[in-house]
Amino acid sequence: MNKVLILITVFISFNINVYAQVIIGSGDSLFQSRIKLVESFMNRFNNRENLIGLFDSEMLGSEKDSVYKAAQQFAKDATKSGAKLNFADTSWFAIATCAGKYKGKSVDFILILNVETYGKDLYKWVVAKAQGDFFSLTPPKNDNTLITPLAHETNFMELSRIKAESILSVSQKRYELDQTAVFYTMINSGLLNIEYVSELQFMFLQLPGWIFTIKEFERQTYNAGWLITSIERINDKDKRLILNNLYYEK
Amino acid sequence: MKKLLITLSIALCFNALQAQTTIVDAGIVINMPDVNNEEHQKLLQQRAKECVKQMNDYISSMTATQKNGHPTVNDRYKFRKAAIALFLNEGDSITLENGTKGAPVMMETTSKNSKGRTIKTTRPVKEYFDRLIKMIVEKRTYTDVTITSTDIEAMDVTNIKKVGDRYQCVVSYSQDFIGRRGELTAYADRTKKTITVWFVAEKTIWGDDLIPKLGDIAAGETTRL
Repeated sequence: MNKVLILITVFISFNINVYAQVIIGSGDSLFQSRIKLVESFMNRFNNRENLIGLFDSEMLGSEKDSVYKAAQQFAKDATKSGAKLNFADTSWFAIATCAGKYKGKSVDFILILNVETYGKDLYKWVVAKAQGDFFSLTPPKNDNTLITPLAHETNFMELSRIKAESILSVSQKRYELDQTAVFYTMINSGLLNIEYVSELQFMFLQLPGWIFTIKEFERQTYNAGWLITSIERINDKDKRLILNNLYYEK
Repeated sequence: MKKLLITLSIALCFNALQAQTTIVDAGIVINMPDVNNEEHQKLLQQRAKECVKQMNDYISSMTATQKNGHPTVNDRYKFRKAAIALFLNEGDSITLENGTKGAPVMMETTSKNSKGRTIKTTRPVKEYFDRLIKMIVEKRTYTDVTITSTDIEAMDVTNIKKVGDRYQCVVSYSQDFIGRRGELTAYADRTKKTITVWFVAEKTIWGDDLIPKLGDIAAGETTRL
């Protein structure tokens, strides 16, 4: 789980800040040309409609740039493979950075969501993973909470003294906390409220040998909307690792 | 007359496209569209875009000031009422099957805090309209406001998706806001919005039909103009 989240986080961190040239005054034509919906991005990719044009142009740099060359190879491989992106695919997912309130305090955390089918032509998004520092329930420093060796002789009365923030101090050494289960519990108990999604990205694994991410660029240029923001070569083994962890497969 | 003919032709066209599947919902027999049928998709997508355009026109009228119409406060509330009628359950909460109340239709808006970070606020769509009218009438921030949105041709719409026994799609559009103080433009921005459109079964003079009803509206990052 952690390995996958680290991989995803590292991948996201490749994003490049964009300082776009602003064009003002031709609202409708600019808006018409932008890739306004994720579905529109998928359609353009599937139609192999100027694949280089689907990249964030600021990321590509000049034609001599290594990123530009990688993008060209990506486009070549996409055309050769004939791979398609479909909404119902299990090999794409959303990475939503959420702003919320935990016990009234502002917090940020990540939710990974994937599409799940529940009948013919029926689909829904489901939360696959949750990631956030406060989901790890780290005990405070110098926390000496423990259940003493003779507690069994006193009906484990000490259990009633365990404080909320010290709960992991009494867990087994090898216990691996499931942050997603903590997320569900916090929401269920009303401790955590999700306010809004502050950043949204989608990761696609459908193209053989590649993994890529798209995000939406809000700028008044013709290169705007949902665009490829990072690409990386990946082998089948690592792809399987990501997907197995996403779907809790052993 | 032209509008009536268009509606009539759409209704006839829709009847001609009836799929085999039918269900009974609140006593109305609904002819279900086939989500895999391209013609059904196009027809419903067009209806969704027209509904969104209608809402945007009402917002423009609701907020029009001396430079573009100067409606009375009563007029503004008439436009608000007309806009609200386009929303699912008129923007109010829906009582769920288990008796609990669901959330009302929500409108997301964006702003930047002092650190430059984008903050999103979500409020019921009715409250959003009330605040818009209040801002115009009180003239505290701006003396004149213009809100315009993209035309139907510039809107994008997703394929129709089935959700239980209902159908939905999402339409994207862009909204420009210009606030003036006197002759000077004090603030101008452009925000990309995406809105969920639900299709609800209703009896119409043409027979049982699926009518678009607006749902939640999400806001992208705002760009200053």
